Amino acid sequence: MLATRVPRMADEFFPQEFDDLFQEHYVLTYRTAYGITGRVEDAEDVVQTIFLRLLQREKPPELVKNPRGYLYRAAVNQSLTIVQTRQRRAQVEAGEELAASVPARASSRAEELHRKLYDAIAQLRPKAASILILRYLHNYSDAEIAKLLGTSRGVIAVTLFRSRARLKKLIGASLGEEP
Amino acid sequence: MKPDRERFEKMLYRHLGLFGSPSAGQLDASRGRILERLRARYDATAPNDDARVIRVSRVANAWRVGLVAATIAAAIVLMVTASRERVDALGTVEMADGSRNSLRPNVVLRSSEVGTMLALKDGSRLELRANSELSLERAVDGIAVRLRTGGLIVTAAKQHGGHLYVLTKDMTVAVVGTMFVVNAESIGSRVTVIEGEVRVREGTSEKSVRPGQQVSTAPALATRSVREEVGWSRHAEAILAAFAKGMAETGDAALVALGQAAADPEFEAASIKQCDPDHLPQTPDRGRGGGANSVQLTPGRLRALCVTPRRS
Repeated sequence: MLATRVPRMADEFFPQEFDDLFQEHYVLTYRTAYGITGRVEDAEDVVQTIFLRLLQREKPPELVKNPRGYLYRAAVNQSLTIVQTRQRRAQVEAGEELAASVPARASSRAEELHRKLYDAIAQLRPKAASILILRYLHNYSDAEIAKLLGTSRGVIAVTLFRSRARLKKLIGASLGEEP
Repeated sequence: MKPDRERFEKMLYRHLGLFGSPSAGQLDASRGRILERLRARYDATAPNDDARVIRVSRVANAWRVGLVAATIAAAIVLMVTASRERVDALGTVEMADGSRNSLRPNVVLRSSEVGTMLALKDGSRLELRANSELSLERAVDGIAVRLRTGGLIVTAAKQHGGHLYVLTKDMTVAVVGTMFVVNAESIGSRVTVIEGEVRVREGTSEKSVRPGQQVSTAPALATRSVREEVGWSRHAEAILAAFAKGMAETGDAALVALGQAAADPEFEAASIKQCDPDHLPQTPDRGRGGGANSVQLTPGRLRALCVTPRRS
């Protein structure tokens, strides 16, 4: 039996609607993923995963209603999953290599706090995490966040207040070391 | 704002945005890589009529080998029949290397090199210029080709009561059986007719365009000769010969000469263009000629100064 022929990249096939969706929302999803994971390869994986899911299944109703908000939330959730997986793997490796006493890199202090923060954010409700990241990573105002996520400014302000309080509890020890 | 909250927020801004924003170059490079991977995954999972047709042919040979193979072949044939019913492709892409792929409605085809041919379900054939992008759609009475960018040469099959349409962002071309060239550029679109007749609609106005005539939606789009319009095609000479034949059928001596000249490889490019009534060629001093439908003959060269559309 002949193998399935893969078209050359010179001639590419894509549903037009999908292509438009990708081009329109790529930057926000990629920036979100890159900001959270801090790695190009992870950011690419996140974007690829969320758009591949769209190619392989029926269009979710939330995507039709608010594509930007839906794709942003998907990028946040997928990125946080990667950060958590990485954190768990690092803990296992740290336990295994404890005896080796590998010296920490100079930049690891800031990166560690970054990782801890996102690990803590992953423990918040997905909506709260999305709001927090829009504010502190993308510098969105309450009004801009409300518009993107299809909610009110009041909800955003209250969620941000509660999320900050929860984060403080979760990373309290690390904050004590913050200069 | 309380100092405590201020400090905490400052820390959040600093550490959540630790890696900053990716550069434009990084964004573009990643975009390309992601799209490439998505396309590879999509192409690997998308239904492909031709691959299945070939598979059926191989299984048919296996039928002769034995009963087991025949059973498998029958099962595959059934699957193929079912899937072919599901997939309603509007055309088949024939690439320069001879490979073929079906093109379903609303799927974007990008051609990065010359030589990609598209055979439509109605028998029409399209040749794509390099870096062109189009998709096919079902129209009420035929097939619509949505040309997003680039150019194509359309050899439309005789339509049986229907139409073939070519749509650009600012123009609609409707045909029933003819050959023409369409270019979609950022500033506008241009249609040049080689054979037959097309109806071009731009906004609310509609006009008929005949062989040798050219219509563009933007004045900034330079008028181009037929030879220039089809020069990139692998079948340029055959198209120019068809153009000469079409011009000969008009019976107009000047147009016949122009058609023959366009088919001649030595013919000077950029010569066949529509007359501007306000700027007709001048009659040379102590000479003859000039005006509409005039040509200029110099040793080894024939140039059309301008051509007026034939009155129907």
